[in-house]
Amino acid sequence: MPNGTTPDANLDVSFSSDANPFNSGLPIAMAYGYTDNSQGSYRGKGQTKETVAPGSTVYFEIFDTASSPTFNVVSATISAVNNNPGTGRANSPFSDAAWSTGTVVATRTPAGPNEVQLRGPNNGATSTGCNVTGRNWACGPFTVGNFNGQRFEITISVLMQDGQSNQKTFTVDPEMVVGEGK
Amino acid sequence: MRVFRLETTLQSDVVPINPNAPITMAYAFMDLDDTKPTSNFVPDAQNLRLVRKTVPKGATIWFNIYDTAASPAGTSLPEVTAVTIDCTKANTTIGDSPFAAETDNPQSLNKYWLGKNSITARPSAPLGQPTTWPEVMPCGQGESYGCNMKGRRWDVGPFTANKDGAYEFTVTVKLSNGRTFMVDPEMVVGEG
Repeated sequence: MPNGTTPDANLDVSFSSDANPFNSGLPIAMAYGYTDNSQGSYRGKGQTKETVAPGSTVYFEIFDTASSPTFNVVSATISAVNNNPGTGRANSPFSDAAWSTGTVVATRTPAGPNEVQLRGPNNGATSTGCNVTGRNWACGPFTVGNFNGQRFEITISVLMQDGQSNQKTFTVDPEMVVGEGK
Repeated sequence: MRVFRLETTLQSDVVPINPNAPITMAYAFMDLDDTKPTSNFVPDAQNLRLVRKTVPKGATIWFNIYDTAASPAGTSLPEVTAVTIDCTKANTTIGDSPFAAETDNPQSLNKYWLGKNSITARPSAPLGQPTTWPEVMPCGQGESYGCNMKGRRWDVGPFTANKDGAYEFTVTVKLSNGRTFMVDPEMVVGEG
């Protein structure tokens, strides 16, 4: 964990910043994995959709598995789309004010109302969800709102940049369901 | 006929925390419109939506694996030794997969799914010996349009998705260096 707070769940994303894109103008897919921290020990849960309980906390963590990474995270944009039909739809699974529009941007120097602190990098960090080690950044924890039964597609986009201002974007779309069941 | 590829990418030299546990892979579905030459294919943003894919009944499905690891000079990279495609997560009935056997088409690889909801593809048998499993076909260097990566590629398939329903796959790839990679994509067969 990047700080002293242990969240109830982690959503880890992992990629190699050495990845050679086919089209440098498009994002590169990355892997993801959930970790359940609420049972006393960290446990990877693979990539099935994660059910998170109202009031629980979730961390988002980024892992670069490149052996000698030269890229750093500039920002991580995390957005939620609610798949539930009808009224009463929440914009995101989280009750934090930063999530009011359904999108947060994690940066080193957050400024706007929807920007949050990006922590890191930490070298030699471990992702239980993805079963990899790497260089790590994180944001959160965020608190799950009382939105039982609502299902969200989360898009995580990580913008990386090296010392020569070369940029790469990595993206993935995991799912999250708010509820009591696991 | 619509053709789709479920592209999975791994990095064979990644360092796992637990070498006995699977490492996650990235994945993306690609919709290959066979009315256009593949060489002219340009992926659009929609193809990078990764959560699940709805394909029309009768669609052709390939499973592609890409290793994005670089090979340092004088070294060789591991080979794929097995690819298991498992539909048991969402479907508990044996034989319940999107790939029903096509009795009128003896060439169809759907025969490997007869009575099963999990199959394992392996490399070819020695020359002259028949295989009783779907083959993992090495294809050299390739480009994953969906994941937007380059790497060494292996193919499994094609299969015909001819049974309506929502399916959750677990694709597990084993390498000759002992590492195992896994991903859990979803696919809906029906109203595409």
